[in-house]
Amino acid sequence: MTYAKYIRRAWGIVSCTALIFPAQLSFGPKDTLAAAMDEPTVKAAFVLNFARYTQWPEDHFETADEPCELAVFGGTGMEEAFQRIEGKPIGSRPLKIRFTDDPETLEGSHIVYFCRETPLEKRLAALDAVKDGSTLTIGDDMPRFLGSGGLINMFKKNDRLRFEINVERALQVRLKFRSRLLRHAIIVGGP
Amino acid sequence: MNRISKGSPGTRARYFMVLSLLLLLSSPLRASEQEVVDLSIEDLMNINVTSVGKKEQHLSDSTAAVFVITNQDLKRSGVTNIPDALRMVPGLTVSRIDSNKWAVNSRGATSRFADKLLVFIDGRTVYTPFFSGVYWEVQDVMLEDVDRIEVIRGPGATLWGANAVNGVINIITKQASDTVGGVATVGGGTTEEGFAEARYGAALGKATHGRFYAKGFKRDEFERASGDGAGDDWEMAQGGFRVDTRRTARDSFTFQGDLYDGEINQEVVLPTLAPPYAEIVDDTADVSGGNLLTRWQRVLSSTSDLSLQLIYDVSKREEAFTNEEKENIDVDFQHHFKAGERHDIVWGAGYQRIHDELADTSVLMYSPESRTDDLFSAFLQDEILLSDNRLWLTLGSKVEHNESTGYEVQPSARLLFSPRPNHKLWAAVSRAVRTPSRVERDGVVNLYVVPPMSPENPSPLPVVVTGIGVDDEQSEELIAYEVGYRFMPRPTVSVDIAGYYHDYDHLRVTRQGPPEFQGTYIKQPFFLVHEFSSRAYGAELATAWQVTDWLKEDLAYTYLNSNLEEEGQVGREPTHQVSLRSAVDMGNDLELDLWLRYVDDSSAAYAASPDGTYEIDDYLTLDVRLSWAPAPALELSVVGQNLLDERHPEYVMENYGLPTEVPRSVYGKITYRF
Repeated sequence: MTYAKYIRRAWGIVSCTALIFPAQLSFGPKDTLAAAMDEPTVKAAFVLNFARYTQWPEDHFETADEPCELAVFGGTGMEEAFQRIEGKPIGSRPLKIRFTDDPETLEGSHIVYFCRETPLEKRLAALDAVKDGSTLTIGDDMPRFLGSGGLINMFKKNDRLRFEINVERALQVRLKFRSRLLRHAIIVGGP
Repeated sequence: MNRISKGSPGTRARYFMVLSLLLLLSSPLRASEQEVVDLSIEDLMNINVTSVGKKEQHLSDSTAAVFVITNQDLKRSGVTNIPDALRMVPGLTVSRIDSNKWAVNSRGATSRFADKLLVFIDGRTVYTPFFSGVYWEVQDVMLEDVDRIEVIRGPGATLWGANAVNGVINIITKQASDTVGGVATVGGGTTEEGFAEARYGAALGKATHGRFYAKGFKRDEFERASGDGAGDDWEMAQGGFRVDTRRTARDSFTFQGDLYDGEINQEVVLPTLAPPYAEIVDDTADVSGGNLLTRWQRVLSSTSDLSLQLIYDVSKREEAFTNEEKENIDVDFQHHFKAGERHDIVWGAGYQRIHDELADTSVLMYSPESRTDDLFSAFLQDEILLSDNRLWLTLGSKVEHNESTGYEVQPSARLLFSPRPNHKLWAAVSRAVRTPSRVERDGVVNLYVVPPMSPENPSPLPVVVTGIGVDDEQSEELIAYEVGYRFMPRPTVSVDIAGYYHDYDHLRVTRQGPPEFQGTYIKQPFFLVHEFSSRAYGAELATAWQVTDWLKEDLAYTYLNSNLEEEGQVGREPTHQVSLRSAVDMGNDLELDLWLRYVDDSSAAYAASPDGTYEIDDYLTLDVRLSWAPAPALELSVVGQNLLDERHPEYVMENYGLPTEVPRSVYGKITYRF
């Protein structure tokens, strides 16, 4: 068998591949982020984006410039990263960060971030404490987080962060996500 | 015939470097952590969050003896090829036969034609069915773009399939989004006569990244014990590309390929029927090959994902004693999911079609000359959580159907116990098989000729000693018992210990048949059958210690006791091996690396010696690397290899080769990033 045959076959495979392969072969701007980044900071940046692309019900804030409160719950090691997003604007509201280990103090928070090391019982108690409010609950790589009532769960796949959203549960607590966020999410649950 | 075009590798590499420079855009900016929090969701999706290059150490949860060579390890070792990098892995024996050949295996049975190790590059198997092993000299990648090399010692057959008997090596290159920008390297020295490589990567769209690379090198010949040149200089050129794209949040695609071409010189000893009954031939092995891979991965949720992979791979090798062409098509499907609170399940199915064409040479003949084999496989593995964060049981098996031995079942049971977060204990029992190679199934190998009227052959006719594959439809079998312990006594120290007992059955041996009178010579057949039982046991230690901010020490120790040499198919393994790497950061721009290696005395099976073996003394050697980065984009380095003696032997090829020694060498290298 000569190489001509191999090349023809290889080309056949390339052609087949092209049909399923959606690469846009136009040179875009150069990626500036080739270097590996500090994981907590990247997670905090994701959380900031989640907040920006979430709509709370009209009656959830008392005034137009009331801060959006984010509680970082149940762990350590994330303080520095979350301090970097403190005060960042969420629409017209500044983001306010607090760190807590007590499920009882979570009520009224607009966003609760569950640190990975939170023990299961504590996590369930905290989810229970905020279940009736329009609270955006975010889990850090917790396999059962959406199943136990959480809204967004971040996880790592191929060295990149991905997130899954429980859309059904979000509707129940009257939270809406903008399409730009949903486009990048793995949707779990209807509609 | 439409051959892959040839050209001197230097010329080709220069061409690609010029091309890369033409594509040079603005210099990439390093985003600071403060800038990261202002990134859009689209940009965040592309950020790599591994801690590679950081001085953190993690304990693996793996229930097997695993060692990972990181990109940083590769850089700081100063190696210029993959097999030399494997010398830092405990449990592996890596011996350089000559300038262009290596003998590599895990836990014993090392040889040029070592047959119990499975090697993958980005999921593509590079195992050759001719002798069930790997031609290491043609397995190359852009080392700069390697993410990591994962080495599993012991059987990995439950996941990886047949022939992963003594180990599995996965060479994994970076995603295209991690190789944005350009890098160009040139260098040269004594045995590394000259090399050049360049890569350029860019964003091709919002969620699509691509890179291409080209490399070439010319390596000088090694030396005989006498100091004469061994005639084994060689040159290779290789290029390739990779594109990764994320079509939706769920779906990602990878498309990649490589092409290589090389000329490998060697002096081979071929048996002849006329006096002196063996001639030394100056031979050139023409090697070439290429591959294409596409992979689709879909994330279904944080606990469930699947992947489908399609590979096309061709290779060709033409030399004095073998003439082989191989074409391989490989389809693999895999699905991983969590079932309930306690089960983490992965299952998959695969199909391989291996087509080969083997032209006869004066010493190696096959009947039939061409085969097309189908290989079907399926596997299921369940990791069961027995006690929260403490105890896991992993059960699984692969079932394969091949055309030689039919169905093969390769199960394993593994237990992981973590009494405290920094301590992991594991134990495993597994079965693996090596399926017969083409030589064992269909080959006739003229090994050597015993001259007439000699002590071994008093008859007046020469005796041609011939190995004959009889296709006894029997795989080699291994039952492996393994235990391991990993712990971190301090955050800066990690220790990994593994011990094993390997119980082999149906290993290949040669059985003498009746001599056959052929008119002008006597043929003495030896039949290749699988009826040898043996065992090996040993222990492996790997420790990593970040002593201070500027000093890291990596120690690997291997103890191996094996009886595999009893039937003369392979040599005696070195009992003790030590590798000690010291990485010193002298300020921000200076790095010093010292790599000390000790390998105990051993032997190789060697047909040309009267007792069939070639003794190799123990050796101690040292590599030193010094690098200086006068600017962030520029790095200059000097590497000295095997510095402690002028030259030393590490191995000989069992047949057709002459003993060659590894000389002391030095090379310099300039790396420029843009």
